[in-house]
Amino acid sequence: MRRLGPAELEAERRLIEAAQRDSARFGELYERYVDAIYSFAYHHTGSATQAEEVTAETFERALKHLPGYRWRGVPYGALLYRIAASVISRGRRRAPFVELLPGHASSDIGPEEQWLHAESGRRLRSALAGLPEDQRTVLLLRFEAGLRNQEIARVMRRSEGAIKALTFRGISTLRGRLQPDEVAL
Amino acid sequence: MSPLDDRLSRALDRMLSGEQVEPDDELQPYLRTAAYLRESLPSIPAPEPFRSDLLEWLEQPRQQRWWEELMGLRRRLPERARVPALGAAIGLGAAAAITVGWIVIRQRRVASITT
Repeated sequence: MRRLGPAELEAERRLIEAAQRDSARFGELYERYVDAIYSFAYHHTGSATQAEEVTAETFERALKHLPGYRWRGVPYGALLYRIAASVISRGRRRAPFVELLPGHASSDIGPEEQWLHAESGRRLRSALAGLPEDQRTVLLLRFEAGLRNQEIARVMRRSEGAIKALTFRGISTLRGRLQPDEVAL
Repeated sequence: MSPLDDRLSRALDRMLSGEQVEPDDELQPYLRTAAYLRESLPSIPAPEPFRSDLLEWLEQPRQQRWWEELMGLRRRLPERARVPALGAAIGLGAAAAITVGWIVIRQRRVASITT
C-alpha cells in the first residue's frame, strides 16, 4: 500500500465522503485499491480463482458498509486489507483452497503469473503456504503490501507486540525452509 | 516478546522506509530472509476482464434489505436524536409486548371460566 502524505489522506477522506453521498464515486476507491487487494489475496491463497473471489467479496462488503464508515485518519486500504484477511480466514475454515495444477492453469498467463510457475517462486510459495495463517498474513502485509508494524497491528486488530512476535516467528520458519543460496541476495 | 523480535521489527520498519540498516551478527540472517521476501514477492495486478466486470457489478443498484433501510434512517438522524429515537422504539416495542401478553392472559382466563 502506497504511503499517503497528509494532503493525500485529506483527499482520500473527501473521496470517501463523496462515495458515502453517491455510491457511484466508489469506483474511484475501487480503482485505487483493487490491484493491491488482488495481489495480497493471490499471494495468500496461491490461486487466481480464489484471489478473484476474495477481491470480489472484499469490495462487496466494503461497499455495503460504506455508509457507516467513519474516517479515523487511516488510509481506506487498511480496512480493505482487514476485510480481505477475514474473508481468506473464513474461506480456509470452510474448505481448503484448491491449488491449480500446471495442466489446469490458464494458458494466457502474464509475466507476474509466471513467477508462480518459476522454480524459486514455487519454493517460496510452498514455504509461505506452510506457515500458520496469521504469520503468513503478517509477512504479506509487511513485505508485499509494505505496511509498518503499527499499521499491521491495526489491520489485524492485534497488539504491536503480537505482530512483532508473529513477524519474527514467520521469518525464522521461512529461513529454515528456504535454501541458504536463495536468500543470499 | 523477546528483544530480538523488537530489534528485528524496528530494523524492518527502517528497511521498508528505504533507510540504511546496519545489522549485527544476530540480526543479519533474519534481515537477509526479509530482504529476499521483499524482492521476491511481485505485485500482481487484477487481470482483465475480472477487474472491469467486478466494478460493473459493484456499480449495479442494490435492493436494500428492510433492516438496512432502518439503519439508513438511523444514520440520517442527527447524533443527539439517535438515543431518544432508539429509546422510543424500545419503549413502544415493550408496551406492545405487555399489551399482547395482557390480552393473551385475559383471553385464557375467560376461556377457563367458560369451559
